[in-house]
Amino acid sequence: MQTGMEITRVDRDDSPELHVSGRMDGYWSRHLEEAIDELMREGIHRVKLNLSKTAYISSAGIRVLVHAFREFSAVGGALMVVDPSPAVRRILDLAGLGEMLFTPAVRKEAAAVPEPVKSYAEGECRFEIYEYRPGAQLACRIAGRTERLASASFNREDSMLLSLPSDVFAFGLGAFGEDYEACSGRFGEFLAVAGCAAGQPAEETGSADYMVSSGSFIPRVMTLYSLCCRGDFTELVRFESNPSAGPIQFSRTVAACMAAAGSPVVGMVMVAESAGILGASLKRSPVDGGALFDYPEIRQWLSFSPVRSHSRSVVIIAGVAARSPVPASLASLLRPVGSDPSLLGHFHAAAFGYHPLRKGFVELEPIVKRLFETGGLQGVIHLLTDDRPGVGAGESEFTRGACWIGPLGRFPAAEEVL
Amino acid sequence: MRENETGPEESVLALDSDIAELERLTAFIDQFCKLEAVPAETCGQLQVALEELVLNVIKYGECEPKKDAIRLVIRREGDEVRAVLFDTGVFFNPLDVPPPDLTGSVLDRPLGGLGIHLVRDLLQSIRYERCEGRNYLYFVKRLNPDSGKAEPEGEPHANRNGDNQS
Repeated sequence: MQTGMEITRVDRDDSPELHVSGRMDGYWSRHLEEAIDELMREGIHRVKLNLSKTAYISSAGIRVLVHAFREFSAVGGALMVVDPSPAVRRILDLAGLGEMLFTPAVRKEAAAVPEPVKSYAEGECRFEIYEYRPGAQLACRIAGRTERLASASFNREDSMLLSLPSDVFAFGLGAFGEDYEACSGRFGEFLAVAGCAAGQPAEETGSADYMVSSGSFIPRVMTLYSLCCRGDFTELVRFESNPSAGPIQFSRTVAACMAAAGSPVVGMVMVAESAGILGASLKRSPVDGGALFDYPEIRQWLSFSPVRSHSRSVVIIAGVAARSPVPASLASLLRPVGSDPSLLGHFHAAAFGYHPLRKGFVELEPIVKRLFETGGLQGVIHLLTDDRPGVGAGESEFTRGACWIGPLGRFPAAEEVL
Repeated sequence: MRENETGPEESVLALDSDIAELERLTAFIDQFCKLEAVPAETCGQLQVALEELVLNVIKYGECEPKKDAIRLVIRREGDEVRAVLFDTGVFFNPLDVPPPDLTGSVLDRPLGGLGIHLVRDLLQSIRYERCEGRNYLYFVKRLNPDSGKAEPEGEPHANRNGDNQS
């Protein structure tokens, strides 16, 4: 008797073929699921499944096939079953899935796919620059006194209810709630992109929470400070590291975005497959006073992992990057990014369960909405560079991703309502 | 065939309500088909149908205790396999499950009911009874007419690569 399942990968042309022998049943199908998942993480979006040696398939195996078929279709790729054994063919036909699985999905719209205006390689990383919304502008505003974080001395006067419609991206310290009292014990990192907002309550056991706009509902966050930008992005930067060369550092993607935008101050939203992010989040709401950054008090205030986390996740990052000298209005918000002392920024990241990203030109809003609705929010952190000599963990790293960027225009006064 | 009428030609398997038991179920069916010279194609279809039924009990049957909650009695009679599967789970008649909607794109079609749909197609003369707190499912599986003979050495799924050579 042949036991279990054996999966052999054959790389031919541009798409690998997985040969599955054995049983695609309720017990063994998860091995195929894992093998397909690994292909997606390699950035492979077209794959053939050769089922000529598959003894039989049950509904559990069918679910794996259909789930994979949908995942590949969602990123513009294709999963194709080839040469199924008669037993498998019979079951797939019975399930009404035969023809659809044997032929690749036909794209409904044959709309012209935008081509990159520039493609280049830098070391082991490939970049593509696309025009996104040429001529678009981002109008940004800093609200709150960021310098109060060091003394954890925010109070009611700092609080502001921020509305977060789909043409706004924002990050800062905040909490979901309609008044200061309800939020005062929970203020923590938040970010908002494309009508979706994620927040990390500053509680030891607090798990991240989120809101998604729907119909006339628009998420709102009570903030202590925030940077909030309204408008659209001018460029899309795609990046992908060579798998054999390891992941790409966050600062390199930021530097590439700065170069593409051609501006000293850039607003940026990134969606990327993470190889590990490094950052911190508040453990206590910074409203009662205290020396937040002093040692050892800092341990009571900040949750910081000395190693990268969320290494097999997809992250949404919202932030601002600048080359020194930076505008005075931004200076208190900015921190070093990577080892280049002239590169500064402030970024918050929300981590989600893994979903592959479509290649080429992509729209921001559908990707963000899909992650919020199906991705499983894992946490929100403030990204850090840990450059302590000898012990520093470095910075966040990614395998591939997309950055929507735009030069930051004017900075209206905090009182001006967006 | 009744529960207490297990003759010498019948094979009997007791399973716990635990997903890890699927391996034993598979091995048992393979062994039965080998002993009774059930052809490979029929054996594969039996495997699929029984996995669907047993997995349903394990997932949704809420069997307490889990130990020996599921039993299968199976035998070959001429060109048929006859069996009864019974369990201590909550009332569930798989024949009541409406057929799934198989129209529309695979991209957005719900997948519920697919397992029972396969069972109804792969098995014949399915009959359900609820008796003394147990679900009984009697069924017949006709041997596939186009492959009436067992494989040599009775290895229904073997993927042999010249293993006769030594």
